[in-house]
Amino acid sequence: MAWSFDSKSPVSFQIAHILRLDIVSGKYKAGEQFPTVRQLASEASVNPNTVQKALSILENEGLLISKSTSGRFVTDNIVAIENALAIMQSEYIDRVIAEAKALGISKNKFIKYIEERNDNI
Amino acid sequence: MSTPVLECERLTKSYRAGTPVLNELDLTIPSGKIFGLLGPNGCGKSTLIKLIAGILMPNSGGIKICSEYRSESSNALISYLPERPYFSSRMKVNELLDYFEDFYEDFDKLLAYNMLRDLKIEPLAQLKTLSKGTKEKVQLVLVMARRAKLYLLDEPIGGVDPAAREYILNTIIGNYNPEASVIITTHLITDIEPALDEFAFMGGGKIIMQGNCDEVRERTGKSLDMLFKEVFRC
Amino acid sequence: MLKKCLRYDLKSVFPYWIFGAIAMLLMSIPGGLALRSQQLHTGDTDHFPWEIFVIMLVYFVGIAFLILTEILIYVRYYKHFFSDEGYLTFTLPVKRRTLFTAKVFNGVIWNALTVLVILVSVIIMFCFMPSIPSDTVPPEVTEPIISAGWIFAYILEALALIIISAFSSVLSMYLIITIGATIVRKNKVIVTIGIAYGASIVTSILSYILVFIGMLYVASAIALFPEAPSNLGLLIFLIIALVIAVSFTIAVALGLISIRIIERKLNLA
Repeated sequence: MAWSFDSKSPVSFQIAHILRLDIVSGKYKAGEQFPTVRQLASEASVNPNTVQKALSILENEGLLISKSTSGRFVTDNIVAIENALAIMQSEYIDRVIAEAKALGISKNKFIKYIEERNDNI
Repeated sequence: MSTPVLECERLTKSYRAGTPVLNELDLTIPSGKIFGLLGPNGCGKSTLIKLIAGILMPNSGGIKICSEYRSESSNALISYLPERPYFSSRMKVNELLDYFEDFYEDFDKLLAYNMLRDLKIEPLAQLKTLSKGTKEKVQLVLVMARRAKLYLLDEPIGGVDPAAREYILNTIIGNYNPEASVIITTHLITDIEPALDEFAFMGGGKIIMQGNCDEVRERTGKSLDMLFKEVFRC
Repeated sequence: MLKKCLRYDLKSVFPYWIFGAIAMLLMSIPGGLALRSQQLHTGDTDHFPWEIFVIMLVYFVGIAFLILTEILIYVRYYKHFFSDEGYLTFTLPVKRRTLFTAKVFNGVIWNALTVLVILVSVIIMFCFMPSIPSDTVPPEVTEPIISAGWIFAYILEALALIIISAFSSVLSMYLIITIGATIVRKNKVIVTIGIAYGASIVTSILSYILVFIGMLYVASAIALFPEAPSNLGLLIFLIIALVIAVSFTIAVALGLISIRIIERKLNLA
C-alpha cells in the first residue's frame, strides 16, 4: 500500500520522519541492515530519488550508516538513537502543548486531564 | 554529468495556419528522472509527446534523444504509450509480445509475461475480446517491459481503476533506472506527485515553469496540485 | 528488417486470401465440367445451356477473388500506416522506406499469386475439355516466332509484364492512398476517389500517347531498315521490353514520391 503524505512539507522530509520513527521505535534495530532505496520506493510508491534524499537526511543525523558495497545500516550507536527519540518526543510534546494552548487549556487543566485519562488507556 | 536523455530546441508546431500549439519550446531532461509534464487541456502536452515519439513532424526546431537528432534509430531508445490503443485487434496478446520481441532488442518478454500474470490478463486472449481498460493495461505492459532510455507515457492512469492505477505507478517506480527517464502527462496530479521528482508546467506553447517537486514544497510550502491551481487559475 | 516487416504483412493478408484461392480452385472443377459439356453438346439444340451460367459463375468468382486481393492489400496499407495502428508502426525502429518497401513487395506478391491461382484454375478447366480449339492465333504468325525460339523470350516477358503491371498498379494506388491520408484535409474520401479517377484518365491518355509514339518509332524503323520486318520476333521483343522498362521507371518514381510524403509529411493526429 502506498504511504500517504500531506500536501505541505516536502515528501522527502515526511519519509525521513516515518523512517526515523521506525528506527527510534525499534522496528529497525541498532546495527540492523536497512532496506534499500528501491525497496522503500516500491513500498511507499514514491520516487527513488526522493527516498534517496530522505535517507541522506537520516545519514546526516547519524541514524543511518552507508557502507559502500553492503548498503545501509542503522547506526550501532545506541546513544544516537536514544537522542533522536528524545528529540522526537519533545517535539511531539511541544506540538501538543501548542495545540492545547490554542484550545485555551491551562497548564493545570492539561495535567489534570492527562492524569484522569491516562488510566483509562 | 551524463548526457541528457531529451533536448527540445525551439520546437514549434501548428496544425494549421494560426496560433501554434508549441511556440519555440525548449526543454531538457537529464537521465534518471521521473518527469511530470503538466498543464490544462489542450496546452499541447500530447502534441509534444507525439513530436518526441516521431509520429508528428515539427514545423521548426530540433529534438535530440541521447544527444542525437531524432530519427528512426531513436525509436529503439524510446518506449511510447499513447492515449489510445494502437494494435490490430485481430492479434492475440502473446502474438503482440512476440511482435515486440521481434522488433525491439530491449524487450523483456519474461517480464512482460510476469506483468500480464499480475494483472490477470490471459495471454492467449484475442485483443478484440478485451475491455478498454484491459487493452490499456496490455499496452502498458508492452511499454514498461522494454529497457528503453526514454519512456513517454501519455495519460497512463486516467482511464483505469484505483487498483490498476497503483499497480501502474508501482511499475513505473519499480522500473526506475538511473540511465533512463520517464515523462508522464496526466491530469491526476495528486496521484502522480509522489512518483515524480521533477515537473514542468506547459502554457502558451512553452514551458512556463520547471522544477523539482520536493524543492518546490520546501520553498513555497505548496504541493504540486496547489501550485498548479495557482498558476492555471481560471 | 525488410524481411521481418514483409513476413508480418504476408501473415496478415494470408488467412483471408487463402479463402479466395481455395474458392477459385474449387470453382475450376464445375467450370471444367461445364466447358467439357458445352463442347460435347455444340449444335445440340435440345440441350439447355446450363454451362453458360456455370462459366459465368466461375468468371464472377475470379473477379471477386481479384477484388478480394486488391482490397486486402490496400486495407493493410491504409490501416497499418494511417489508422491508429500507425502509432505502433511508425514508432518501430525501422526506416519508413523499409516499411513502405515491404508493403510494395506484399502487394506484388499477392497480386502475382492471385494471377497464378487464376491461371492454374483456367488450366484445370481446360484439362476437362476433350479437344482444344485451334482457331485462335493464325499459324503464319506463330510459326516463325516459335521456330526462331522467341517463344521462350515471350514467356519470360509475359511473366515480367504480369509482375510489372502488379508493381505499377500497387504503387499508383499506394500513392493515391498516401496523398488522401496525409495531404488532403477536408473530404478525404471524395478527394481520394477524385484523384484515383483523375489518375486513371491521365494514365489512359499517357498510354495512348506512348503507344502512338511507339508506333511512329516502329514505322520509322521499318522505313529506315526495310529488312527489319523479317526479324519480327526481335521487334516485338524490344517493344515489349521498352514498355516494361518505362512502366517500371514510372512506378518507381511514384513509389519515391510516396516515401517522401511518408518521411516528411506524416502527421498522425
